[in-house]
Amino acid sequence: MISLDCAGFTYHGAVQPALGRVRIQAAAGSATAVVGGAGSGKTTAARLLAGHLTGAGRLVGALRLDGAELRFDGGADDPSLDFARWSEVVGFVGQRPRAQLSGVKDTVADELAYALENRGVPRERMVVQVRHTAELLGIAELLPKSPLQLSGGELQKTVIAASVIAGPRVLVLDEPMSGLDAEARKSLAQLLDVLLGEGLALVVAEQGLQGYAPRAAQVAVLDGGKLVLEGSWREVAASDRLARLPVNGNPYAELARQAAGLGGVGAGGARAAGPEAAALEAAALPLTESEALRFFAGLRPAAGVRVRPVRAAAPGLAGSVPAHDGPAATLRGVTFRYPPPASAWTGRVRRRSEPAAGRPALDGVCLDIPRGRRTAVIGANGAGKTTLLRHLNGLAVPQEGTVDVGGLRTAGHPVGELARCVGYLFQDADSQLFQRTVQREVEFGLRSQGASKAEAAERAAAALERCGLGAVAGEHPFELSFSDRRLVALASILAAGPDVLALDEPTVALDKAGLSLLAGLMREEAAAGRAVVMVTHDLDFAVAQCDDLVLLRDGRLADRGPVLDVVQRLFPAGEQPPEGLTAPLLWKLAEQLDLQPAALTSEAFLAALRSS
Amino acid sequence: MIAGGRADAGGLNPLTLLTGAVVVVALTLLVDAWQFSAAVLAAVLVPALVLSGRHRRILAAAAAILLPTLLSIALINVFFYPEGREVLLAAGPVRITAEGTWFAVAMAFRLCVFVLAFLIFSFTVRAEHLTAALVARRWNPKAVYVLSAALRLAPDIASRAGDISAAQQARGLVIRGGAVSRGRALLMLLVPLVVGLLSDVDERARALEARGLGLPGPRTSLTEAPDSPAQRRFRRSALLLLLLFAVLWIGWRWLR
Repeated sequence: MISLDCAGFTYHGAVQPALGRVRIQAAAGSATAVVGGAGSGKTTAARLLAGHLTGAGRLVGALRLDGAELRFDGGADDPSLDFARWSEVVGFVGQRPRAQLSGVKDTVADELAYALENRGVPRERMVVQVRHTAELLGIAELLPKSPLQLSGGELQKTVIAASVIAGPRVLVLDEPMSGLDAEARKSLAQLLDVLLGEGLALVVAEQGLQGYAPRAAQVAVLDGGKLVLEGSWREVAASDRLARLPVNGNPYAELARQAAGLGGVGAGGARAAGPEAAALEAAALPLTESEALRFFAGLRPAAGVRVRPVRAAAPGLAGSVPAHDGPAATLRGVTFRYPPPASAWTGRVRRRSEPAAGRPALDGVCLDIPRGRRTAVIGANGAGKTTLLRHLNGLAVPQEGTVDVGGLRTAGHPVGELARCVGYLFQDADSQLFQRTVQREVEFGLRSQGASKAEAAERAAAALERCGLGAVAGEHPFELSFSDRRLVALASILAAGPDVLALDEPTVALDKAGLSLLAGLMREEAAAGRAVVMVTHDLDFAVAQCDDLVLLRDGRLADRGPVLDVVQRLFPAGEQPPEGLTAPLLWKLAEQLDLQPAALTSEAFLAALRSS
Repeated sequence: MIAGGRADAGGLNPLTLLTGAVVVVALTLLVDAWQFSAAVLAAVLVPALVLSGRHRRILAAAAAILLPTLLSIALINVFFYPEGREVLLAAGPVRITAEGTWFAVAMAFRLCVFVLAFLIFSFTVRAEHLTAALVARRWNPKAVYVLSAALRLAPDIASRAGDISAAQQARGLVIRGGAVSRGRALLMLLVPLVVGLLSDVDERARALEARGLGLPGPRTSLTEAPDSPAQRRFRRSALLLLLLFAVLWIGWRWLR
């Protein structure tokens, strides 16, 4: 149906090619996942397939669509791609869905109809087609809504529906799942399945293997612009080579590998013993929950033995800070309501996850944020997580109750002043970056807090180094990958060394390298006595990397305490998890293996397994 | 000042509203008498303002435009009107003349009519309906796009500016009540705001082209602008009568 056969692609003005030898293809009714970490070239490959880039650089290779071939030699007499005609067949959904809205439509229905309007489809037929597409893709209830009021997942679905309604036969998507919570991911995957069922060919570029890739017929892994791994999802997920790439892999396979590495597993020594042994091991690696259950059950010395709860507590953190220091932030009886959503007139659009008018976003919350510990705030969509975080640096001020941070009452102090004690990482990094270079971006906070030019430059360079961005200090933030842009935003707040780090969904969009960097930085900051607070949907990351959990439900504080205690209360054995939450993967696995009560880190899990 | 309308103009076609605004403004220009402007204000625009249901917003916007303009008109014409003969008050180079004062009054009324007519139109018209009406009249699709994008620009800019300002403050930019501090904050906002708007342009242009903005041929629209035979008759006859009046009025003035 569609294929890219690339021998090399270099952006105009760039020295290094963005893409080397890469071959990607997708057939009608099947999906191809293009997987890679930040800067792997997956976005470039996706955009080439979508016909976006043939004028933006020098391509050597061929694009094929429906049997027709466009061959490029990188010379002046290369064919030119007629984008209007190409996009009739190949639809594209990029990383920033909001930028792909028409910007001139007041409702989702009108947004969907836009491509039909431009083709002069009569109104009666248009009404039928819009309804049909919306029902097919499960977004009929969104039709009367304003595109500006949609949640991340709803927006993504709307943009997809709007680009498939005119009937392209290929859809290319660039990281469609990043930034979405588990529920939204699941529902987006179902939507993509429907498109496959309709016979579309899908090309999905992703950071890791656990997004849409498991449903793809073919997975291509890129690294440094080159195709390094190719095959079915099973082959790729179990591949030994994958473990060495900056790609978020399969958690069960990684755990099994770890088990093998720790010894006690027959396959342990086979890893370096040549291709055959590796293939044997790869075939045995568990990739799904049920396979993992079988795999680990087989590793136990004796089934049925119960072990004590084990969790590798964050080593050396608790107690590293004198108790008399008191909490870094205190919330007392905090109640907050958003003003009623106004129309587009005032520009104040209901924030994506704000609760419906009437119910307070926060309702009488009392909470201490301790120093030297990492606290994760969890809860379903609209539970008030981000609103709570915004109270820490005064972006939101309680209507009832008080918030004290670093000895200052937030009401009565401008946000800019509170920024001395609180570093805030926004969920949308792009609205947080506003300087010409990465270096200046990180210096901004330091300069506004009165640091001299030399001091700011020095501290910024150190922060960039800590975030692994030393090499890109001179570049424009928007030139960087999604993952690196978030790290720039993180560096910009680390540089100032605030007492409290407030991180809104910090794991979103990070690749494997970024995630382990984030975990390390959180550990260091907490060890230095700072309070780290993160809002997250990623419960697996939270239970592995945080000390405390805070659960919000409908704006109220529903539970709080050390991670293991809260997880035990939230996910008791044999019961359905609370709405909007999924039990941590290791917890579920351990529970089903009867390692009860179970472990939360892979080390603890394996220790429990061995001693059981 | 341009509104991304959601108000419901009570089933009025945007072109009916536009015709009304054009007739009011043209008549005021033609007749050119403060009494007439005042009558139009009282008899047409004030009732329209009340009926619009958005009088607060419209008046706030009108005040923002009119107050500085009216003040400068008053200063220039009341005090420095060279053609003025009937001096009411003189102090050094400053002469307040009757002619200058009347001229300022006439200008002020006329300006009020223009601004209010424009604001009532733009605050009551639904952008979606205006687009549909223009599409139905086979306007150039790109021109229609630019117009409807402009009608929605203000809310988009406001929401982005809010995000950027929050990010800057979260990193230590202190904005205090004073004019200097606010002015500085505004300057710091401008560059990232424009860069942000531009960075979306490329992406949006691609998406629009992929969805057929550049295709040749006639357009249709999903939303139908409300219309009725009575409104069509009103538009036709109002424009015809306006033309007739203009010919007669100019002819009569010329003959005199």
